[in-house]
Amino acid sequence: MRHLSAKQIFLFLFVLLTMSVYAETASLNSKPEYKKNLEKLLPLAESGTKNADLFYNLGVCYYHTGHTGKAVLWFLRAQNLNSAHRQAKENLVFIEALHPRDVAAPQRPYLTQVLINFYDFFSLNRLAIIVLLLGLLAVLSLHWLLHYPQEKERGLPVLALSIVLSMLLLFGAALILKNHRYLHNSKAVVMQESASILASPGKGKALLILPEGSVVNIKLSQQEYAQVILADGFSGWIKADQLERVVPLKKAGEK
Amino acid sequence: MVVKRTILCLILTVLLFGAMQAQNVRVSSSVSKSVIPLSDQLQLSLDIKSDSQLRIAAPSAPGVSGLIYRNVVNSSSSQTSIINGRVSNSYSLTFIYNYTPQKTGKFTIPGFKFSIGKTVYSTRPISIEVVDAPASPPSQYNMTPYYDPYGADYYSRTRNNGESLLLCQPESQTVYSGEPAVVSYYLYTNQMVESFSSNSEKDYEGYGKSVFEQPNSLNYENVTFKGERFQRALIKRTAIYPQVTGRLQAPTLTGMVQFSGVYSFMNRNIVSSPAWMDVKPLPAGKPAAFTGAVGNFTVSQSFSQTKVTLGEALICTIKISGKGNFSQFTAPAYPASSKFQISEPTVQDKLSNAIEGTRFIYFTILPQETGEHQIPGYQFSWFDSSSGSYRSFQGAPRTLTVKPANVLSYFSGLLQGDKPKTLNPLITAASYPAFRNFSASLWFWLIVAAYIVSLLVSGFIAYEKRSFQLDPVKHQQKTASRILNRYLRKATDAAQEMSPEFHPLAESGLLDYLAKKYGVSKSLSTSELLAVLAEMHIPTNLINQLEEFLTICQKARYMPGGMDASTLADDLVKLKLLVQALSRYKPAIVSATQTEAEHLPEEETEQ
Repeated sequence: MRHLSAKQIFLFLFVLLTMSVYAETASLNSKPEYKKNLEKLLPLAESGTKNADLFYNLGVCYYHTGHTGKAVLWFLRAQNLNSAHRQAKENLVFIEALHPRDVAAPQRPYLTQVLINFYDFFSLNRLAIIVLLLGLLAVLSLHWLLHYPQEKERGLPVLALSIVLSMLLLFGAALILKNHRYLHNSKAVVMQESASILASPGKGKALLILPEGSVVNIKLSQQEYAQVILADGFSGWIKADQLERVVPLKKAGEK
Repeated sequence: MVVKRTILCLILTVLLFGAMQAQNVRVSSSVSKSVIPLSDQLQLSLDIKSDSQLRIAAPSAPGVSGLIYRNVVNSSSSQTSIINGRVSNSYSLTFIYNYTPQKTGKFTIPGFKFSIGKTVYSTRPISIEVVDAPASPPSQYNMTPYYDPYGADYYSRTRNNGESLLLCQPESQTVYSGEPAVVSYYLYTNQMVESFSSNSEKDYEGYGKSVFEQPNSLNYENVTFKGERFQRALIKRTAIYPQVTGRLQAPTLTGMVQFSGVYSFMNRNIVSSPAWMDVKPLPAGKPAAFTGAVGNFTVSQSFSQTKVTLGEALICTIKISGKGNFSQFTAPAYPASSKFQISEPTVQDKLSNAIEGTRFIYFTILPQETGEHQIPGYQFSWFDSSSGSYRSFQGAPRTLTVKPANVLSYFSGLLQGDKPKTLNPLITAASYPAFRNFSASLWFWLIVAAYIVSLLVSGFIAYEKRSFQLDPVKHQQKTASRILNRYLRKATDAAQEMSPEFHPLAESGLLDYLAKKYGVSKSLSTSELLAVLAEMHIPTNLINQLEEFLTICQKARYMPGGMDASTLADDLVKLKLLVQALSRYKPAIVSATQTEAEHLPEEETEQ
């Protein structure tokens, strides 16, 4: 008893650490604190700070204060910065499952889902690093090939270069695509209690009513109305002021 | 003279006749109504009757403070009668002046004063009163038709006296307190109405309301109203939620009817007819779970799962479908249970309009203990307006199996990554560093540029190496040519121009080249230079060749008559051969340290 074993000490420290982390998390997550956190975090975001964790925390605070639309919007913004943000992705799935909608994305085939998850894993900056590494490998392979003895069989350096170049092209294209999405993400979220989808801008009956927090893709903007495409491919027009874009449009003169 | 007298007589007759006609002019003025509501238009008429046809412009409109003059329209008519064989004509000219009242009160419109010929005519002032709202139903419902300047030619599809009314029609005359009542506003007309624009809606006490339907265009249907054929178009439908009992007046809608084309002068404001509903109180005996829902509903309850692991949450969904006052009632709390922690309700509406659709109420339930526990069913009560009684939904209690959590359950999320059970909590972060897009950073593109530069250099080296391996002679010639270009360009140019400057330039360029290649000083004398080169194990024939050329240069420079223009071409050839031989030779010191460099072109070594 006098001498504690290494296992016991480790266990004791582990329990202490767990309790401290739990206490900290609990203080953050107590309901009255969400509003305070929101008041603290929102000015940061409004001042132009872009941080995936900040956006994620804003989403959590908004959700717990009853603003589903804003919660979805900030989770999407967190994902736009970091597509590998697991918590934001899970929370979006959770909200979608909790608020079933008429318009649901069709179930994707397993392999497609795996590919999408793979694509999401490579966030913008991860892709940039990988592209640089692949670029280095491609340059080295090219050097190798260029200075490879003329009289020797060149299959090996050609194979290495082909593989590296293919990967470089693949990841380079993904980087360009993701960078474009980061700058011009067309997703938007319904921010009002409900929003009507119309057949044409300002005319006709409502084809569909979208609840708050629904995610749409904006195809075209025309003054007061925006043409949107829903997850199932359904298209229509919606009042632009009922939506908020994941990537806000830059105002005139703004860099 | 006779002709002149005749003309004079005719003129006098015409003037006398004109004067006689002028005396038969009768003038009067009138208003359409002496008391008009503020939202209506005032029409002031000026009638001029005469036995002869008159052609005069509209007299200026009398100005009145508080009434805005809008426009004037005129019309004329004539009548011919034969009495006892005597034919008489009467002509009438009418001017209608339209005014819009700006405020309530009594106003006096000054009389007209104008002249026809040399006679001045005037009318008496007229007093009118503008009131705030009509005491009786607005006059436009059975109003005197507006003046029709084109008489029978007026709209072919209507009679001369057109009417446009805005009628308020409640769906039901008797409703319960809280029961949504739909009130429709229809435009009834038999005129050419182009459009209708709502101006305002006056509300009364005792109800809440929301828009039920509002078409964007006038879609007419044929109806019979007051025994006559009318066309009607729906303007708006409003859902009203009565909050008080007794007699309740529906909101009054005010708007402007715009007539098409040349009849736009007839545009006017109209107010909807007043409509009332009797609101009955809800009967006594409200159930405990009654939170104000009134209507016709069907309710169901479902659980996302019945077997959970401790720490996992399940969702209870309450579905309320039907027609009722969705915006007026709240979701009752879930019955408490010591075995479960139950969240506040999350409400989501999927309504096709303000009062019809489905409401989903979600409760997140977190088991507190392992084992099999019964969770009570949900209770929801509403007042069924069709049967006039309270109804309640009592969900069946469910037995939920709560399994203990284990280490594996922590990893279960890996297999069900797309189905999280709870919302992830906040992330603890001391600070939030700004996101930096690496691919937009300067260092990223510098690295890319470095890659490209290295590739270019490597490619050039490889190219040189390859060309040397493929054809060494050609490569040497090329290298020599490059040297000549670099060090002896001026000398070559001088030789081609037969200039005496060739020899000094050739000597200077050659010494520069040797200094660069072998590191020998340019200030050495020829003999010292050759000695140094000999020490470097440069072949004797090459040294001799160099000595010979340098001697030629010195002779040409310092010996009188040493310069012979005819030998310049030969000297240039000698120089080229010398450079070629020099470039082909690799110094021993370089060969010792860089065995590979033997295969490299001279330029590379120099660089």
